[in-house]
Parts: sequence; C-alpha cells; structure tokens
Amino acid sequence: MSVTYHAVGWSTFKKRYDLILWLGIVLFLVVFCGVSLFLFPKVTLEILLIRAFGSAAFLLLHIILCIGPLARLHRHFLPLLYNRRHMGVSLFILALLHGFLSWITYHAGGDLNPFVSLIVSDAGPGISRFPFQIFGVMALVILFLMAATSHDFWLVNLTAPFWKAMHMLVYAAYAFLVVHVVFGALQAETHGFLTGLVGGGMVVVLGLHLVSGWREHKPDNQPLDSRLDQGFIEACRVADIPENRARIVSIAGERVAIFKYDGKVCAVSNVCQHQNGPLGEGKIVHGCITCPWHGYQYLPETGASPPPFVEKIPIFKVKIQNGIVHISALPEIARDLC
Amino acid sequence: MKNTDDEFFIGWSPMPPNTRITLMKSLWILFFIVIVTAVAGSALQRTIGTASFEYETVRDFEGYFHKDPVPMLVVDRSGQSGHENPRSRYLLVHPFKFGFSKNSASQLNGQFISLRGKLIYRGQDTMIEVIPESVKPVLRSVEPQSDTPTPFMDLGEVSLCGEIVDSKCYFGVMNPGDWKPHRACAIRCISGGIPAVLHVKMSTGQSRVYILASANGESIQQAILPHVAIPVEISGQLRMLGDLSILFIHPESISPLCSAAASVNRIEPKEP
Ligand code: HEM
Ligand code: FES
Repeated sequence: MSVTYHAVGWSTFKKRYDLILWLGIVLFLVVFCGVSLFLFPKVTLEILLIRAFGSAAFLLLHIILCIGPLARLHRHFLPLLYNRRHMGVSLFILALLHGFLSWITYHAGGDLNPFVSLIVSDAGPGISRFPFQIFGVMALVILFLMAATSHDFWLVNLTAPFWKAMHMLVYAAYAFLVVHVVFGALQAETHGFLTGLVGGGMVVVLGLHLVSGWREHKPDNQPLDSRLDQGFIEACRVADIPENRARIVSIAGERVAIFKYDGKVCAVSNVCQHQNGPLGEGKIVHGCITCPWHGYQYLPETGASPPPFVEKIPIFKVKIQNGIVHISALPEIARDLC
Repeated sequence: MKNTDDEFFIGWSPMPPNTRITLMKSLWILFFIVIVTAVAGSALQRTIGTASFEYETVRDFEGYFHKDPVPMLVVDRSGQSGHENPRSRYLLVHPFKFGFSKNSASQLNGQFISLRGKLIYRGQDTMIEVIPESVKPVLRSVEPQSDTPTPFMDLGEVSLCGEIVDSKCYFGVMNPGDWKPHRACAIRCISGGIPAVLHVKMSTGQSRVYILASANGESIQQAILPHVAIPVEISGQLRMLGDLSILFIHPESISPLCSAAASVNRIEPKEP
C-alpha cells in the first residue's frame, strides 16, 4: 500500500539498499578474481568465474537467511530486511551464472546430452562418488521459483499460505547447497579454513534460527488461560503490553497481536497482508498499526488499511476484566471503513 | 539482545538514530565478512597448477603420427638446439571432449603428417588440440629417423596411488582439472576418447603423470570410468617411450583407496 502513498522516501531507501547490495557483490567478485589471478595466473577463466559466482551466491544466501532471525531478535536490524527480496533475486542471478557456466564447461561438447550428463555423469556408488551437481540443480530450481514469484502480484495470486510455504523451501535449498559444496568443492579444496567457513556458516544460520525461534515460542507467548468462557480466552495482562506496541499470543496455533494505544486495546492477526510480516513486532504510528517489515498500515479498530488502500487483516473482539485482556477465540472479518 | 529504545524504522520515513548506528555497524561487519571470505576462498585454493592452453593461438606442426599406445605426433628436434630430447611427443586430441578419431588414427599410423592445432602443456607433458580438417599426410623424399618407433624401455611391474584424470583438461584446458569438482567432465572426456592418465603426487611433492594404456590391446576407456577422479591404486607394467611414462594396465587391477593417503606414491618407480 505504501508504494504510492510514500513513494519518495520508500524508493530512496530502496535504491540505496540495492546500491550497497551490488557494491558488496562486486567487491566480493573483484577481490576473489583479483587474488586468484595474482596467486594463480594460469587458472582457467571459466572456472575462476564459476568459483567466484558460486561462492558469492553461497555467501549471499547465508546473509539472507540470517537477516530474518536478526530482525526478530532486535528491531534495529529491520532496515536490512526492507528489500530482502532484491537480495533473493540477486542471489538467483549469481547462482544462475554459476550453474550455467558449470553446465556448459563441465557437460557440453561431450558424447552425452549435456542435460543427461548433468544428472548421471558424476554419480556412482560410495561416498567418494556421491553426486554433488544434482543438488546444485535442485537448489537453483528452488531459487528460480522464489525469484520468479517474489513480486507482490504472485503473493496475491498464489495466496499467502502457498507463497509462504513455497518461500520456506529456501531452507531446503540451503540444505541442498551444503551437500553440493561439502561433496563437491570441499573434496578437492581441502584447506581446513574453507571447511571451517562452511561449518561456521551453518552454525551461525542454525544458531540464529534456534535462538529467535525459542524467543517466539517461549512460555509468555501462551495465553494466560486457554479455557473458553463465552467464546473468549484470557490472553494477557493489560499492564504487560507496552504503549503503542503489542504483545503476541498464540491461540490454537494462530498468532494474535494485542496492541495498546490511547488507553485502548485491540487484537489483530499477527500476519501482515503484504508479505506475512509479524505485525505484533510493529508499532502504532499516526494511529495505525504499522508493519515492521515494509510499513504497511492498518486501522486498529477495523483491521482495514486507511483509504485509498484496500488490505484487511482479521481482528478479534476484546473484553477487559480486572486488568486482563480477553479476546474472542475466532476472528471477525475486517470491517471496511469506507 | 533486548530492544532498549522505542525506535521504529519505517522505510518511508527518516531512519531513527540508534537504528542508523546499528545499521552502519552491521554494514561494516558485512563488508569485512565479504572481504575475508573472498580472500580466503581465492587464496586457499590448492588445485590450480601451472598448466596452459593456448586457446587463441593456432600453430603448424609436422611429424610422425603414431596411434599406439595413444595417438601422438612425434616431432624430430635433433637439428635444433635447446631441446634435450631429440624427439618431442605431443598427444593428439580433437576439440571439445573428444579424442583423436580412431578411423583417422588407423589410416595415418606411421605416416609423416602436417596439422594445425592449439598447444596444451603442463610441465614436460604436451598435447595438441588438432583442427581435424587440417591433418594431411606429407610426402617426403628423405625419411628421417622418427618413423622407426622408439622401443619401449621396460621398468617392470609397479603399483601406484593417485587419481585418474583426462589428459586434455589436466594438461591445461581446465585448470584446475582434477578431483571431485571435475569428475563429471573427466568422465565425459575419457568416454569421448581422450587418453586417461594417472596423476601421482610423489613423496617429494612433485607431480607425475602416467599415461594409461591397455595391457591386452582392448580399449580401457569405458572400464575405467567408475574410477575417475577418486583416489585409486593401480598395478601395471611401467614402460617409458622417450620421456613419456606409460602404465599398461588391466582395468580390474584398479582398486579404490579409502584413505586420504591418495596421491601419495606407495612404490615409487625407478627413474629411467
Ligand atoms: C545448475 C546448477 C548447478 C551446477 C551444475 C553447479 C555445479 C558446480 C560445480 C561443477 C562446482 C565445482 C566447480 C569447481 O570448483 O570447479 C560447483 C561448486 C560450487 N557451487 Fe555449484 N552448481 C549449481 C548450482 C549452485 C547454486 C544454486 C549455488 C549457490 C547458490 C552453488 C554454489 C556453489 C559453491 C559455493 C561452490 C563451491 C565453490 C566453487 O568451487 O565454485 N551452486 N558447483
Ligand atoms: S509491510 Fe511487508 S510484510 Fe508487512
């Protein structure tokens, strides 16, 4: 919604984001190729590029995977998340260059169809013959699907749950790529520091996800009393909700964000209509619930975006008794203001 | 990590001060990680050797063609200074992932020919990627010595540990052109008729290459494919042909090595 509403500020930050992203990518490629050519001037150009693009893509994937949990652990990291989808598309471009060059260099011009060669040539029994390129292919297919559907158009048309499930495949892509690198390049390039980098990367990615996941599911996210009383559930104490902020409570597996503002309390679905951002980590800004990811806004009373925008989120009825917030177990469909 | 202030970043409004500080710190850390990984990833590569492929230079060659044990051009250097060996032997292959055509090899065997091609070399090991249409028999009035095949010098039975690679990539067309990343490519090249070689790292740290040839005259190319680019041990009859080391093997004698002792020569062949 904010695209036209706040066009100037939005696009300036976005442009700067993309500029720094590509500066980082070019810096990696230049340093990687420069050092390789300086130390090993006889290296074959295609293989140098294959290695530079592959390594850059793998590093970028780590960064992308770490931004989500970092932003959940501390909101100062939220700006990194703002244009993460361009990071995803850039990752796909690097991975495609790497995959395409590998495919042509290692499989074309032989006695077997290069597509067939990609699947069968390096496979065989035993660990030392465990194929690795096919895992790169599977990861590339996932990255393609994600990059191709990253536009909001697909989010709306594929429906949010399907889109979200598809974008969770990035974890499968990461697992495939760890196999791709461990059973591929690391079998030849055996310097301990390189193995350490891949292992360290895994520890950081898994560690951040575990810590942020634990934070989200810790006991104070559970409702006070999950018994139904006339369709209402005891959710939390009013005093526990910070002013203009929310507390997130899990009810029957659904996350609900309970906001406190201007002496009032409201409860809405925690899921932003834009890209499923966690609304409960947002804030009331100019009287609207504002998503922490890209700034989409919703009116707390109705769950509808202020006109001319048309997004709506489910809201829950709220009753306050003795300083305790009770919310309806089932949401209401958001009422339109207009 | 605790959120200690009430700052809230929205992309369409100015960035709050503490968020900006964290962002700048994060960017510096990210750039540091970018540089460390790029330097480590490039500087710690160990498989790139001093091998070359003159892919932009086409040269003319003349010499005797021999098809056994692998197609090669024997060039007489006896009149030239600076060449220790009176004969240079260039292995011959076709473009892409194909060896020298078997049909032409049978027809040309023993003849003096001229050809055009691109030079591939790694240390003493040399090869020409031949432009197939350029190969022509040349009639000569005086026959030089090279048409009489040099007799093999027999060095006896040896057992070597190393890695089977395709000679074309390993000699320089792909650098690095060995081990797992290159396995699929080496398999396609050897399957396409490019001579297979055993690359052995001697205990002195130097590398040596042994051309693999069949002990019984049957083609070994397909039989050795499962053993390409993994640590193996091979036993066979070692013979020298000029400065080429040739290992005559039965593919059944190849056994996978499970230890990392790969590429360490167990029984070093005697120097000729
Ligand atoms: C069609 C898909 C792919 C193919 C055919 C492929 C093939 C290869 C090959 C042959 C190598 C070894 C290259 C060498 O060292 O000589 C390699 C290495 C590598 N690949 Fe892939 N790959 C594919 C997809 C990917 C993707 C999607 C990524 C990451 C996003 C990736 C990341 C890497 C990395 C980090 C390495 C190690 C560095 C290197 O040696 O290049 N690959 N890949
Ligand atoms: S604004 Fe993008 S997810 Fe909420």
